[in-house]
Amino acid sequence: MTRRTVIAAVFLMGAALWTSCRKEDDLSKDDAPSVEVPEGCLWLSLQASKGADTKALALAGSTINAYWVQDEPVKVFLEGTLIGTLSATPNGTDNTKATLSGTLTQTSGVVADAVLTLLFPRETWNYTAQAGTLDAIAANFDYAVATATVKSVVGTTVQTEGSVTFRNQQSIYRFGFTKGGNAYDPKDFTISAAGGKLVQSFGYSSGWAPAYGDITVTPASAPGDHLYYVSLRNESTAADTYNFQITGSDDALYFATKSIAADKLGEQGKFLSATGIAVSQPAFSPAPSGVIEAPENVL
Amino acid sequence: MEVRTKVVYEAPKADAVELKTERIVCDSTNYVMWFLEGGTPNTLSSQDTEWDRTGYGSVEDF
Repeated sequence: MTRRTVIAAVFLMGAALWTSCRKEDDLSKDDAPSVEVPEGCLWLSLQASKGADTKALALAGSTINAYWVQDEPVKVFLEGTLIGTLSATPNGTDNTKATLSGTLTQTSGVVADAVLTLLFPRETWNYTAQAGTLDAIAANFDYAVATATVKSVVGTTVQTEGSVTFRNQQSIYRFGFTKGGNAYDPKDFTISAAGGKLVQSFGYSSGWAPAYGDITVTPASAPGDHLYYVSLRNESTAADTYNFQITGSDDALYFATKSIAADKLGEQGKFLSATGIAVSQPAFSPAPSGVIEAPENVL
Repeated sequence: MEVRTKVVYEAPKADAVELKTERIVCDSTNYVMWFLEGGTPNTLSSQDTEWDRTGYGSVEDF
């Protein structure tokens, strides 16, 4: 801790203690809340925090690690009803861990042994329209779930049992394409699964009824390593085949396929990589411009 | 009854350190209380527990 930080901490603690000794009537205009507070009813929570600038997803060698970021939201559900939103404060030393805290807007049913479902970062998930980077996945396509059992409710504070781990609800795929033996960067590509179990979207409030379909990836620019990261939730438990419909930088249409074994699909939360996927053009070519005359036996 | 407001104090020259006033809540006993983090009415807190996020592990080729 630097001297500057120590001074700041002392200042903050002093400010907190000073305010704790004042009566409501002593509040200055600067300290007054921005909304009307009922007379005689005032609770205040003070929190000193230190911002975290760690990326939510980071590739370390051949491993993708997930970290908490300051103020990331977590939705809390009880028996299908949203009862509050928590906010993350990363550990600071080990940001795979965080303290979550927040206010529950519903207390009915929050009793010992009640099971809470916690959804990160929101309750509706969507995998469409990706950009092909880990940063884009972290920002919009990285979803995790945990459950927590209420241990006790003491006064107005709810305590949960033991430590809880958030489980990723999709796998991260890394794709690399080749054309003529060289790395190839598509303008965009659309992925479909032959098994038809590629999830486009689903939500907790709708009972997790998934919408299946294609996932389109449109990179903002070609990555230097020619590798594209895509968040996919394929619910197939059998071997499957991914079909790629690719728009080339020349605006021509290309195709590619890649099979995947069943043991890669049975469980979400993996880092799966397929590089060297050869792209090829379809056997047909666009019709030439001009009038196309039908054969005589058709008319 | 619950009323919320948020006021942020930034300590001079203290990078990344801030003091947040996050919640103002009326409790049923109508007492005025000021307190540091924790003990907020109807608050779910994991202050005794840190919550883990699993990563995606090491790469598997397919």
